[in-house]
Amino acid sequence: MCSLEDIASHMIPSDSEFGMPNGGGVDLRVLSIDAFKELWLQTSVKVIADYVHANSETNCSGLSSESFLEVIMAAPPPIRQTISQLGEWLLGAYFSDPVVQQSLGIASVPPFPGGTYIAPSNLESLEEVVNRGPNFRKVAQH
Amino acid sequence: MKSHADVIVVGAGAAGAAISWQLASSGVRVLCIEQGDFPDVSQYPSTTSRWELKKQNEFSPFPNRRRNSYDYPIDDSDSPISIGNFNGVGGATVLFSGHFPRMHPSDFMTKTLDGVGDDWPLTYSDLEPFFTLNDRNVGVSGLSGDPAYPEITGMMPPVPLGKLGEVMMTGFKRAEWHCWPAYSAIITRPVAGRSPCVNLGPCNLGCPQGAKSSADVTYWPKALEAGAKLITKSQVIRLVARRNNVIDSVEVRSLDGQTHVYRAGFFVVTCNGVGTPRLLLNSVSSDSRSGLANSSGLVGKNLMLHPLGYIEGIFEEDLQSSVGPQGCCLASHEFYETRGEHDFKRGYSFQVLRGPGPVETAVTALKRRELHWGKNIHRQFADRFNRTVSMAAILEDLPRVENEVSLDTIRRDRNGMPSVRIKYKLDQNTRRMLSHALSNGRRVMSLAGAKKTYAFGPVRESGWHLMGTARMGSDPGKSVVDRYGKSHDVQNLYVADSSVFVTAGAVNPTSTLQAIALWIGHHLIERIGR
Repeated sequence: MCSLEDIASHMIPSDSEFGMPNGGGVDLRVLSIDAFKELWLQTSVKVIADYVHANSETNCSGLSSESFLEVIMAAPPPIRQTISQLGEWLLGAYFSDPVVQQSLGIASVPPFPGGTYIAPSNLESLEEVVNRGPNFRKVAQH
Repeated sequence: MKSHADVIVVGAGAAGAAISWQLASSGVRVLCIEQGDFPDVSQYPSTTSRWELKKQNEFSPFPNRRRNSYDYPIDDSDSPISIGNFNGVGGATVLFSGHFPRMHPSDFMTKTLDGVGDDWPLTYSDLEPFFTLNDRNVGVSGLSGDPAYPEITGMMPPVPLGKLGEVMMTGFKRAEWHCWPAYSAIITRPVAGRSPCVNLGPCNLGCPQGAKSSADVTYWPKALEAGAKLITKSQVIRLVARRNNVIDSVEVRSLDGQTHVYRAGFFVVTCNGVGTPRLLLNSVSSDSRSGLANSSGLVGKNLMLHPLGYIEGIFEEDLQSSVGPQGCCLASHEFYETRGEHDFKRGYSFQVLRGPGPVETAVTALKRRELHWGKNIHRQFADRFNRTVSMAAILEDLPRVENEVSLDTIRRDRNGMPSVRIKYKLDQNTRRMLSHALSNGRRVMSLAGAKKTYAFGPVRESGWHLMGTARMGSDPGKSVVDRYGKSHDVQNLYVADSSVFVTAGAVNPTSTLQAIALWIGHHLIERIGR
């Protein structure tokens, strides 16, 4: 069959150039924030799994990512809509995962309590703004 | 019967906190009643990697999405803009970004100057000492010398602009347009036991550092120390007027479902531009069947929301744009005032924000069909993350009686109090202004070097600024309260929040609404004789 992790791995494969893990390797339990979402997830995975199985010679875990994506991109609109919604959720789980964020170089963002140093900016160019004069309307009472 | 206080303040948000502090500091016995609770700082998601997911759910600024037990339902299906708020001590400042610009002098007399909106019964000069007092109490950072305002001094150094701010400053310079470091309710130096900002990022999920000047960390500790009493998790259902347009008590429902009655000599309502008309309209009696203080019929009318235009630029260079205080960077008031060459009256401001976090970056690109599943996803993400700059255009919407908050007696909250319906439309003036702002926003992004720009509006989830629904004025037939926030109809009732705004300006309202709360408090103290 096909699991949420299998789908996530195909949609978000690992990438050695960027040092990114695949989507199935992160904690996807964060998506099950309530019973409604859990049910929706289970139903969506089944819909996608059934479709892939019916339209390929194997199930999702036996397919390459390219073949899996080829099959689902050719799916009819209701299934593509399910894939699209599931995809948004997967991106949320993936890009908020601490391991993924570490790979992005933002390991512990926001970095409490040390913070992030941002150098003070050179504000000299504001002189031109000042030199153009007041740009608020002076009204009678002021 | 025994009174519980000299003054009862309803609502412990930005305005309620400021006026409670001021009254208590003058020796007035103040009791503030708040439907929500103190925010639990330990639960703020700003220090976790999952903060962007929390923002979509339990820390959403939108009550219909957040659905915590202190929220009430808001039907905004008849509005292109959703209503945001936070029901708790500190109010919406707990989840605001900290923008703290003042309204301009011209905002108080738009009818005289431009023939649109209405004139306020007070001026910028009247409010100036209260702006200054408020800045001192709150802790504001910014840079003096801004040609967009009369002189403002005494601020802490501005929050750092970062690379993205410098790049955007170049864009404004090339356009020869005004820009200036943002006025921010974020402290950049230690103040009275509070630690300065360390650039944690998502300010609008609550600031665990306490550097953001939300009212729970600024006014409330001082107010309580001065003797103000604060009751939380208790909802005022009704103001009860029993004789000759004088209120003698409030009816309160606590979390356990019990009803309590509290009495005082004066009552100040500070529940924001939606909560205040809700309470007044629900306070019907045999003398006031259309709601309390509503002989003008204007309670709930003239809702103003600051429609928002959103502009985004994608840059070649890594600007570290997701780093820094999320909302506050640069602002431009170049198009704030009416100009003869425009096809609209009044104007708008630009606010350069930080770029989106990784989740928002990815989801936005997916929706734009610029992020594709499979092997290229990481390259496409990397081309955008930390290279995206966001900018908001805040538009002045003019007061229109058709835009309103009304009671929804079908849907009720957990205490059986009617919820609210919002009816709001953009007029032609605002639509023209929006088009101008989006076009100019893209222009300045391009001048700053963006390789790709996007612009759209009005943004649906942007109704954080709730104004105008109990407007002040001199004529009781055309306004709800007078220049001191006192009801024209009810002798001991005051409204002291952004509901009293006559016009909206084109800047975030918190600085102005707190200054107004202090102005009203000052005059109430004189009336009480303290």
